[in-house]
Amino acid sequence: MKHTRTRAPCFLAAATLLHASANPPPATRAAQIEAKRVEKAAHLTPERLPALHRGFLYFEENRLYYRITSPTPEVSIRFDAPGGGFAAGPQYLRRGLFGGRGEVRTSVVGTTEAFYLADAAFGFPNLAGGRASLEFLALRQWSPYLDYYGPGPGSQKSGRTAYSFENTGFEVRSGYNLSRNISTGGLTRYLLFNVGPGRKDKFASTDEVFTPATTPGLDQQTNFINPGVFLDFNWVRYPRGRRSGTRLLTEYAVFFDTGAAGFTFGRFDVDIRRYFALLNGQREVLLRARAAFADPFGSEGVPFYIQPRLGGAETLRGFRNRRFYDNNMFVLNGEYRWEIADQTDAALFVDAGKVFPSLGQIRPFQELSTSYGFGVRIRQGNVVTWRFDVGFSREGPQVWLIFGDLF
Amino acid sequence: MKGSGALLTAFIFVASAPAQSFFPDDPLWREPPPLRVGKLKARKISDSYDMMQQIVLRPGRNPDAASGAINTLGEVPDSAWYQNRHDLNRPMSVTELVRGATAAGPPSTAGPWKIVSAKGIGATPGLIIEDARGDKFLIKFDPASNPSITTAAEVISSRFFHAIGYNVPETYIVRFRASQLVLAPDAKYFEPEGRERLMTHVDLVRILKSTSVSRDGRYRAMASRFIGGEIIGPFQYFGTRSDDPNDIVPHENRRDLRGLYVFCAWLNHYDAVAINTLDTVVEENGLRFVKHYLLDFGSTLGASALGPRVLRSGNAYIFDLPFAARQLLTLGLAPRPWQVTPDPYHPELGEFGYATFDPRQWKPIYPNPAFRNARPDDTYWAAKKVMAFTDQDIRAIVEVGEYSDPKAREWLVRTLIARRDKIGATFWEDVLPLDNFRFENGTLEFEDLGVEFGFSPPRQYSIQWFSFDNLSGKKTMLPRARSVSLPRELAHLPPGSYFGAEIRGPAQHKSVTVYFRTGKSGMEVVGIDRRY
Repeated sequence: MKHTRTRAPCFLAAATLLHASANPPPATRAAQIEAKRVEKAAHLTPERLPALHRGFLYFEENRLYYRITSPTPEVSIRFDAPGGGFAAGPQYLRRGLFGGRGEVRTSVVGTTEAFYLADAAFGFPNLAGGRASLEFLALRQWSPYLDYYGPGPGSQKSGRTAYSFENTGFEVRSGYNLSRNISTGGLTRYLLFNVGPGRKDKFASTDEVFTPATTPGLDQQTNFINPGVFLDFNWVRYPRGRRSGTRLLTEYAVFFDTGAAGFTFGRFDVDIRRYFALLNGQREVLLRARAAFADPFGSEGVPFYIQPRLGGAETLRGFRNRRFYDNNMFVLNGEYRWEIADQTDAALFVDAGKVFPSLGQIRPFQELSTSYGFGVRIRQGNVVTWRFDVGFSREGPQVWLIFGDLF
Repeated sequence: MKGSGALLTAFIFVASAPAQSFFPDDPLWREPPPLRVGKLKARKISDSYDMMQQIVLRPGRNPDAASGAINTLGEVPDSAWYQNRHDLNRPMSVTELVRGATAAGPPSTAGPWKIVSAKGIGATPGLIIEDARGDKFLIKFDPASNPSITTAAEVISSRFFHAIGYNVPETYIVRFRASQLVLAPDAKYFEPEGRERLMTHVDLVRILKSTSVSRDGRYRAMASRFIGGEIIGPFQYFGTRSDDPNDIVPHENRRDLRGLYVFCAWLNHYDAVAINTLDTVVEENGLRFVKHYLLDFGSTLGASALGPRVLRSGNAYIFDLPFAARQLLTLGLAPRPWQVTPDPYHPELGEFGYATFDPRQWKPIYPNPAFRNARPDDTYWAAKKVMAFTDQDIRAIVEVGEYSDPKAREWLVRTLIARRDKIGATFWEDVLPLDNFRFENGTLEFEDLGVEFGFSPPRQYSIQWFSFDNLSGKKTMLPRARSVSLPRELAHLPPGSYFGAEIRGPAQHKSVTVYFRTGKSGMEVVGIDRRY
């Protein structure tokens, strides 16, 4: 039990202690306070922050976190996944060119496994009062090994092989906002590919295990001119920073083989997303259905290295990257997110998907691959900047640390 | 039972000196004039470091420490930190409340406002301008989606904090046309990512486009006059400045900073952290000393720096381990009431209400050591300050925000009244809320604030009188003196004598001991001791 009271105790206690023996006790409360001040005045030292505090201050004043994670600063670090694990590299972005309308961006991203991606873009994102955009893009990608397990949903995990992949691409893309919710546009790409033996000691090279009959493009490589159109219906709103509504993205492109390999084909991609903000906007349920359909127009087929794929952080999170290849695919993703800390969500997810050779063989409930798992999302406002996922499937767990969102 | 101070420690320290509980100048209502300070070094504070240390290291955490910087009545004397202004017994006039800290006036429109620098959109857009008189102001805007939200919060909250007793900058709502602004040739522009460059007219157009404009082409903004003196950076909510001789009470123990918790809870000033304070060396009345300010009230009421606040602001720390663990383990399916009970949304106000407001559970953005050390006697003091605002006072101050939507204005008034009453009911229940002690016709009179304001039913009190030896601190109980009438033994004491009365309510662990000193003109209250 304490018996204490409110009588300027800090003034009284300390001042009395310091002066009781050396000086006569103060006669007034004011004198007591003054004595304490005089005592402190004899031992003043300049204010100095601890070294760690100064380090934080430097980091903060130079906005280093912002520079590292945000795509808007002129020089930043870009995190991307050209394959081969965690990737990072410098990025340069310059906005406000040509009277504030133009911008240029270039980056080089690499991994410790010698995967590289270099790209450069020049564009006008806000033409016609913000209704139109035009962008020119060039990229070069080197991958010493990419996984290939064979075609179809029944490919075996034990059938893993590797192939090397080089890609050079040039793209012109234009967009136009038809209304607040609908935008459309067109694109043209020129794509050059080079595929070779995989340089991964543990696994056989793809060309040693598979044949051109099962794996189109294994023996013949070609280049493509690739025109396409896209349409984006966006009815997503942001109550309390959470998304609510529907978004439908579609793209149709034709890949014209410019060589003699006969690999011309068309491809249709559709991506439907539905967002639900629940419980006063404190929770979010996200659903996505995505599909890609390739039509070889009776040609030799679709080269395996540009076939639709499943597996990895963007599709089936319980499977390795590029686990399934074929001419067509669909994937369904469901995710429940809830806030656990400021700008931080926990997530539970489930994925299901399948690749298949032709529409007639879709049989959605046969050989369906499923995965489930949990994760953490770091947000800046309503944008997920970092994503950590642990996915499980019949083939074991997979861990993903990704810059950016899935939905 | 806990008590409200630490006088016993004083007794321990003074073994070789005569102990004296009260001095002739007690209770002290104004600190003695400060010692003159020299040239002090300015320093900044890292908000992220402050957050990290408050979450992990917790400096200044000492909830058992008694409050400091108070007088023997438990009140906060006037100082460089705090000025007693609005009070239950000495209320300010409505005119004074509305005027707040404003004195020199808003930016002069006699000439253009020269833009010295600007922060870009993405952060809170803002300009630093110099008016025709050469006075500098910070100009802040509202987002276009929520006109008035931040500017109104700034001017309203600064009026409240000023009336409560803190030093705050002069803030004004201003309206002006774009033609009022001119760019200084060397005006700097700070992009959201921190890059600094010369400001262009395009930058200004972009800033103005990000805010709302009225039909007559005028922009609404908040103008905050630059604080004078030599700016030396923020103060921290723990420790003392090592170079300021007048800073002798650890900040985490100062009642004016502990009690600030209650004011911040009332007004939802969840951004009450070190970087939103400022110390400046001023010269007043020939004295040169450090004056302490509270700054930046844009994140109060239903506002945040960028628009409406998010619901967790004021309800959970930015990183709140118990909250996070509960959310994680329940998969978010056992939400807190504030997560699922929406307050009415007004674009000019955001979501700010009282239905789920619990004054004890309110939280700033990250832990504040002074707030965490607050004890019932600190919150009792602060609740008295809050309760001093009448409904009319609140309404008058809210008018300063110049909301265009009467519904937003009325909801804010209603919310602040309801939150005020919750604060009184909550924090006056923690102690026996007796106050305003005096003798009338030989009878001890006092007010039970809980009963007076209708938070508690009328209650019975027991009284025990005693004589008091001020030099030894010894109480001599008068066993038969148990009524409110002054006992005969105490009625004719010589001037300079001390005595007191211990008053208990129905809850025996809560008591108030009041000390009196006899004087030529009667009995004077010199000390109050609350136990709880």
